[in-house]
Amino acid sequence: MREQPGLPSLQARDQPAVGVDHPPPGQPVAAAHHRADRPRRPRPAREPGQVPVGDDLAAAEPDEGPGDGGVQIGGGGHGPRRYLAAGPRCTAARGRPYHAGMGRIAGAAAAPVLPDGTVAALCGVVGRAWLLTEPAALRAYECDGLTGWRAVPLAVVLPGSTEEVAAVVRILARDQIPFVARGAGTGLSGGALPCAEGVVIGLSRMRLILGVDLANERVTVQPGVTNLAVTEAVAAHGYRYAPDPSSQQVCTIGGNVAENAGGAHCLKLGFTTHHVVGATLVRADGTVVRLGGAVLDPPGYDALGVVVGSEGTLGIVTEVVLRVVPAPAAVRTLVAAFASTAAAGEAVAAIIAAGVTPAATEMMDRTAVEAVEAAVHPGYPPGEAVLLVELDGSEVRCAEEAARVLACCRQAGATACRLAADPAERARLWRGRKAAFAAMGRVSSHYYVQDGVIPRTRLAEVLEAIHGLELEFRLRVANVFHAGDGNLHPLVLYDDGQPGERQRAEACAARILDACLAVGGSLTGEHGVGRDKACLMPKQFSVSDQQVMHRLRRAFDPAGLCNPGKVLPTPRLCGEVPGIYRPHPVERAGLAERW
Amino acid sequence: MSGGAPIGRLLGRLAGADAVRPGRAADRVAGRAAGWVVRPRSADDLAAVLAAADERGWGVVPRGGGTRMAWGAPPTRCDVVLETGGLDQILEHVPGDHVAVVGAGASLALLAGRLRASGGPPQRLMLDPPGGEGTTVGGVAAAAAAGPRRHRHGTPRDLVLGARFVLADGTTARSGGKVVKNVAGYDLAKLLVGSRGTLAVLVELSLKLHPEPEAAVTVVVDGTAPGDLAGLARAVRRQPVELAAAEFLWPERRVALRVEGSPEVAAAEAGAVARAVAGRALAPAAAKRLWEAVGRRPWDGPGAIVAVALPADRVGALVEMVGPLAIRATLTVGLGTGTVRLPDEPSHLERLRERTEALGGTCRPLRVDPARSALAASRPDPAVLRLMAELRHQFDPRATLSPGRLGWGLP
Repeated sequence: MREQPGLPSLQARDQPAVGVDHPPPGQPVAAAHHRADRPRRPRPAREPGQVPVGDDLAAAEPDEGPGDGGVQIGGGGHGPRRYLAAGPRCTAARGRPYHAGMGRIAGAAAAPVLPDGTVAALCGVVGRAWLLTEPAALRAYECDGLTGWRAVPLAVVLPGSTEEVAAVVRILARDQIPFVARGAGTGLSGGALPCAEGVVIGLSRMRLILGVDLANERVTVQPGVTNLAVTEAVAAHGYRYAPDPSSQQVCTIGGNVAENAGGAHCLKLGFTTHHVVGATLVRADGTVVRLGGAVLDPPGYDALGVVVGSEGTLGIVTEVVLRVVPAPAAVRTLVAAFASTAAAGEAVAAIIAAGVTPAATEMMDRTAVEAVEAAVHPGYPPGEAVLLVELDGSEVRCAEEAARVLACCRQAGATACRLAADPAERARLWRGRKAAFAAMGRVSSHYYVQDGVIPRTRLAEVLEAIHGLELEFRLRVANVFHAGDGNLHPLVLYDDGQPGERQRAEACAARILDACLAVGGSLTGEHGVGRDKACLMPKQFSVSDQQVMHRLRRAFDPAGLCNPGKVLPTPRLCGEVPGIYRPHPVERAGLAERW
Repeated sequence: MSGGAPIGRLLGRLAGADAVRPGRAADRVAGRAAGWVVRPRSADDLAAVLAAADERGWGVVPRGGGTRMAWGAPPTRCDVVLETGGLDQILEHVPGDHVAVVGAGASLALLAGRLRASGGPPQRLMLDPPGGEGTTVGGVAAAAAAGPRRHRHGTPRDLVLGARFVLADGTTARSGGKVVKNVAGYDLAKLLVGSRGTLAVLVELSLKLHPEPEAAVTVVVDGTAPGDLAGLARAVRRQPVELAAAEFLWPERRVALRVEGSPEVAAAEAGAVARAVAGRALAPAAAKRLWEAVGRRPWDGPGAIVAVALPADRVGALVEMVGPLAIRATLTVGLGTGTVRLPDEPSHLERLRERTEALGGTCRPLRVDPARSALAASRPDPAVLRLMAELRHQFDPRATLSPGRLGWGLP
């Protein structure tokens, strides 16, 4: 097998941003010459409407734990070219293809620099220690978990409070410099991709849990607090924070709010948007507004409702009030195997129709199961598809629903079906699911992960269509997904060493997304639009839909300084060619490995 | 607006002559007379009417079932009342997906009937706001109205998956979709929910449905002192039970807790709840009557109706302070939300608002005399008002939709 481009450990990648308590010297992770030592690839020919795939390293799905390895993840895309005139101001944020920015990053004379006045003003706010301007230090921030898109910012500012964030933004607004907020950088759509003519505002120093009020089931946190830390703060009292993206050990609440993060266990209790009741937002002009709070039903418009999931384009959230819920009294996990993915899809439909709302309903097909069995031996029953269903609630409800789910599975023709006998088996079954992306390296050197959503009743049909695409493109596709809410993560497997395979994989992944949209689905269920799918938005939304979204954005940020180039397409944004493969600098520097 | 007949003819050309009539006394909005009432038969007609009005500087007040019009200040202009009742189709219902796409003018009753008739295991929209049969899906969304089921399933914010809407200039747009998980684009529906017809007119909603519960058991605790509410809420919360509803009824001092599921599960969980709070389970017929009454009671009778929201553990304190003022209060245990019906008098409204705010909460008028509605309305922070003004300016720059109804100096 050829060299496997590695997944930089999220922990390692984020070190520069997390827990720095001294003036960070030039980040040691960035290698100075990493761009030169890999040959450029010729630009692939593209069909109109085809989704080009940035062919870069992968990272963990936000949904997958740190250390899960992807191999290949999409870069940018070109949808049908219907563009809107209005667009973010910083076109540089289109995340130039990796090779395009070499001169700039190497410090060529033409490189834009932050005006001295801006530097001085920013230092005045955060202190010299928390303003990074060294090229080597900046390179650690050049991408998020979607490493196919990269841009080195002019500077990284690490403010320590709402007041500092507001002061920093006021300076940037005054000097008309665009900015991108960043949490742990685990996102998978290039939402935290820097703007090459702008500044990254890292929120990793703001990681205090500001208050726990269990009488009202609220926890107030700064944005740099990790998702898991919220649950840890209340677990001893029998509570938890419900949204559970699998990167929850490292991903931050600020990032979760920006992306409206989901997770395997969101089927029953909803996504981030259902658990955020208040937020302090630093607006693009540096003014501070408190949206909502611990109390429900604040007077006025529900601006918080659009801020959650706005991918950092409407402001910077510097304080968040979360709802926590009691941990379930009982949990049951079932595993079932089926002779076809269609039969497993029917079982899912039957479970939902039976009125059972499981805590989680996850599916893997045979390709995925084979890889997982080789990697972590979860001991799944053999079959073409494996279904994991988790139920929680009172003992009596769990027992009853488990019986119903077992009946649904058997009726759908399950070849094997059992309840986890003990917590150890339950953990083993989940380990298999959580390791699915990382395990794909066992069966393929590269993959492209898609994040589409379909109506749940169309599962069997879309899986059949995906199978047809496998044959058409002569590629294998592994399916790992949140079946309960119709969120598919097909992994298109390919070998980048074989001429043309990568292009075929790109085309196949694009067609899978088309298949999702054709049945009334969505471009993205949890990874976000970010930079990656901004140019695909016209596939799902009309020009008029997008224009109204632009109007919303202008209300929050008339100058277009806040995370420009994300979510909505613009002509310059979508006129570009995606980058070619490069390994992550952290990996190249030998500080992180893929597996 | 002047020159009535030509305007009527213009509206008739845009929406069809039989969709247009002059305003009557019953069409008054918070006391202001309506020039014309237009009830378009399609979203396109609605958009054409709206665009024409916007161009001419007319004021347009959208109206669903008309059950929630008495919440705020009178509109500064009310040339057209734009009814959504003609957009009442159930456009799509896929039972297996638990999703329905419906015209905004469909009433909750119509939707429920269609869902019942669709065959298969019965499903429902988990919204049970007070307000009667005529309440429309779009009106409920615009008012962010909810009832006791909010305890488990939330408000329209949590159940609207996508929306199609028309801006004041006639632009028709859509956000969200008809899948239960979706992060593509801005979730504009959340902004429109609760915006009370001041940002756009909702014309179509994609709604998340749930299975109709097989059985329900209601446990009541009578003679609950307000001061004991917080302790009772804690005792219930410690049970491994997700309540479908939990209401405190004042002045009855009754707490009603509903558990849903299969007959066996509902009985077992209700038993656990009853033991935890020393309550008793009601017979099914009595429980049905109770919840019907709970659904009606906030609106069923004279007086002003004010929504309150405050920290959940302060609800008892609020009832102790303002209980004597109230005719009735219906408060959701554990959420800190509810409604208070009280005499529509300035001193009463002010006292309710002051006490609620002193406890960290807010008030929102639902049905108050227009002259007094501001007394019962907690004011957003200046920074929030500024953002609201900017949103309103982007969506409706000429302040065509429900002008002046929000108060707070907004157009």
